[in-house]
Amino acid sequence: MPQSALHNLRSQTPILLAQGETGGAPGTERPVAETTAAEGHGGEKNDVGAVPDAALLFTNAVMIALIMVAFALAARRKLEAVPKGFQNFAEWIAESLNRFTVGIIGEGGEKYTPLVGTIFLYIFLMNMLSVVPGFHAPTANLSTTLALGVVVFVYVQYQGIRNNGLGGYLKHFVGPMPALSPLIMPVELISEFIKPFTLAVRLFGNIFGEDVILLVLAGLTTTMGMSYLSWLPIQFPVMLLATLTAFVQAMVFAILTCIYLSLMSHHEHGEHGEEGPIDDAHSHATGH
Amino acid sequence: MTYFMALALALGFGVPVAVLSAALGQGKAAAAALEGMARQPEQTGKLQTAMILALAFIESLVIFTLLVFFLLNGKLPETSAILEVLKSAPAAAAGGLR
Repeated sequence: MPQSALHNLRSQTPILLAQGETGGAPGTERPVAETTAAEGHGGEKNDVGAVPDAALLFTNAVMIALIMVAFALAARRKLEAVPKGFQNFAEWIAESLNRFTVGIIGEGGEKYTPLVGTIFLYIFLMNMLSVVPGFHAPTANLSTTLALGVVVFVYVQYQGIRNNGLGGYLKHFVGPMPALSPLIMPVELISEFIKPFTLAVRLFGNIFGEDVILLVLAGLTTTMGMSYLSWLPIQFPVMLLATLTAFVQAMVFAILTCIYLSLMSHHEHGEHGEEGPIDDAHSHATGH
Repeated sequence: MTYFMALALALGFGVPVAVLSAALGQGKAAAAALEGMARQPEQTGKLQTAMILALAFIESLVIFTLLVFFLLNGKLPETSAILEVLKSAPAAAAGGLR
C-alpha cells in the first residue's frame, strides 16, 4: 500500500543506506535504520541495507589508499625525461597540486605539497565512491573524517613548533598585545582546538547528506507506490551534483589545511613582507 | 506530550532558518564575485575559486544544522508508537494534549 510505505519512510530517520544502490534497483523499500547519524555505525537494528559496518568503510578506505599507491608505482615505471602517456598524466596531477599549494601558502609551500596533495586526492577519491554503484563512501562516516581532521591538526601543530620554536609557538596564542592575553588566550585556544572538528563535520555532513539524497531518490518510485518504475535512474542528475560536491569538499579541506599551515608560520611571511616596503622607503630616502 | 511537540517544532524550524540565512549570505558572496568579474574579466579564474570557497564555507554552516537535525530526529518517537499511546489511553492522552 503506497500510503503505508510513505508513512513508514516519514516516521523514521531517513538513514537508509544500501550497498548497491544502483540506478533504480528494486528492493529499495528497506526498513529504515532507527538510528541517528552519529550512532549506529555497527549496522544494528536493521537487517537489510543498514548503515554499513565500520569495518566495511575501513576496507573501502584502505582500498582507495592501495589504488593510489598502485597508481603512483605505475607512473614511476620507465621514467623518461620527456613524459608521455601515463607519466604525463601523473606529472600533470602532481604539478597542479604543487601550484595549488604554493599559490596559497607562498614561497615555502613546496615542502607541504606531499601532505596537502595526498589529502586532496584521497578525500576526492573517497567522496567519489558514493557515486560508484555498489560502494559506500568512507567519508560519510564521522570516524573517517575525524581521523583526517586529527591528522591535519597534529601536523599543523608540529609544523608550528618546528618553524617557530616552542616559545614562539606558545607566544602565538597570546595575541598581539600581552595586556589583553587573558581575554585573547581562551579564544585562540578554542579556535585552535575546534579546527579538526569543523573540518571533520563539514566533510561528513556534506558527503553524508549527498548519500541520503541519493538514497531517498533511488527509492522514491517505490515509496510513492509506483514500483513498476523502479528501473528508472532518477537519481542520476543528483549523482552529477554529488561529483561536484565531492570535488569542492576535497578542495575546501585542502585549502583549509594550507591556510592553517600558512597561519602557523605567518611570522616569517610577516617579516619578509614588512621588510620590503620599509627597505624601499629607506633606499629612496638615503639614495636620493 | 508537550516535550515531543516542542521537539518536533524545533526540528521543523531548525534547518529552514539556517537555510534562510545561508541563502542571504551566499547571495551576497556571489553578487560581489560577479561584480568583480564584470569589472575585471581577466581575473575571472581567481574570483571564481574564491567564490566557490566562500559558498562552501557558508554551506557548511547549514550542514552543521542538518547534523543537529539528524541527532534530534533520533530522539523523536515513531508515529506508530504515538498512535498506539493515543489509542490505548485516550483520556490520559487527550488530557496531556491540553
